[in-house]
Amino acid sequence: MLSLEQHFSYAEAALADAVAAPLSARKARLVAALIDALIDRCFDAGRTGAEDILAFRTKLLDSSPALASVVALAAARPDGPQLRLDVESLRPGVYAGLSEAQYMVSLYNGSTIPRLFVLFPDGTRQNAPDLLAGALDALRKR
Amino acid sequence: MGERITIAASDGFVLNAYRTRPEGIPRGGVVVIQEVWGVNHWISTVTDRWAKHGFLAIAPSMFDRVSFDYRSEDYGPGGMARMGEIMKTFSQDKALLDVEAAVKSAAEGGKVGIMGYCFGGAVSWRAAHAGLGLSAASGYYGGGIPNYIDLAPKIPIEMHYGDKDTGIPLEQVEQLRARYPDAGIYVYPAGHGFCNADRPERFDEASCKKASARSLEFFRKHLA
Repeated sequence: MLSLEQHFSYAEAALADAVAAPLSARKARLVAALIDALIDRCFDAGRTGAEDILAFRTKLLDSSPALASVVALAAARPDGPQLRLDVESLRPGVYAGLSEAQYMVSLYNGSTIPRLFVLFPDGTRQNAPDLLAGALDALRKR
Repeated sequence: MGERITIAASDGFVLNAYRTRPEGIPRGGVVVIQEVWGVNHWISTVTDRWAKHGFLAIAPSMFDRVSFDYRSEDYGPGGMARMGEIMKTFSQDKALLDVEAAVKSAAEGGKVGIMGYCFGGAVSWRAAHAGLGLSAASGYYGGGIPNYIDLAPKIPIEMHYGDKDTGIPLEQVEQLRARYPDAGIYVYPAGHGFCNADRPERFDEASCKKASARSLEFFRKHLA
């Protein structure tokens, strides 16, 4: 059995992979699943103050919208959040935060870039790598 | 090794090009399409290399309609900003006229293939769809796959992508491969721009060597 720290290290390595390939839904899905599993490992490690694992998960997800979103994503319900690769139009001159490859590709594709989002049932969306990073960070700091 | 020349497109526009002739009788022609930095030093070396392999090679200056004789060695933020300005008025349709002019010039060497990198990779696919008198195409990491996946190639084509490319989703490459099972869609353990030897931080020699060997074999087969 891996230690809790080893579980964290594995999830963080998977997140680094996903951030390095920010358009990969496969890598993002893996991170979401690992974060979900990591919550259970945190409970197993003890000192949670929760009566049972479900109470622990509920309390944790209530404390972090990012974690709640990622766990909902990992659940893969048809009516839940989904990973979606969408094209986004860039505002002229606004290139901050883009990798060089994204910028170059956008130049000859009508100033558009693909981005991997988590699309929520209410129509809102969040950048997937950012959301995953936020969720893992919240779990670390719990 | 090569020479700077001008060629005329069918609409009368005259553009610059870099052309290199092989020693002896050409085994075919190759049109080399630039990255977004124009026909700069690295593209010239690629063109020269095709000539060394026995092809009459020509690299048209694809942004001349916007910025005449644009070429840059500035891979930094200044060069990026300049590119952004140029691409605001760039026309994909007019670009194919310039490619066609280059194909006609290269046809002096026999059957013509087209190849290119990044911007040039996407142009290679579009040219393969348009025909333009070409016989084969070999494109490298052309971004915007959803914008060209429906453009069925009329000639044999292969494409080369890096699995660590942050500008081209691997899932899109997978879709392209599934859509065109007869095309050679190759993936390398590399990032975007892995063949640019003038950029050590981007250059992946092993991947580029493998991809370039495939292009050479592909053109030898289809342009013979």
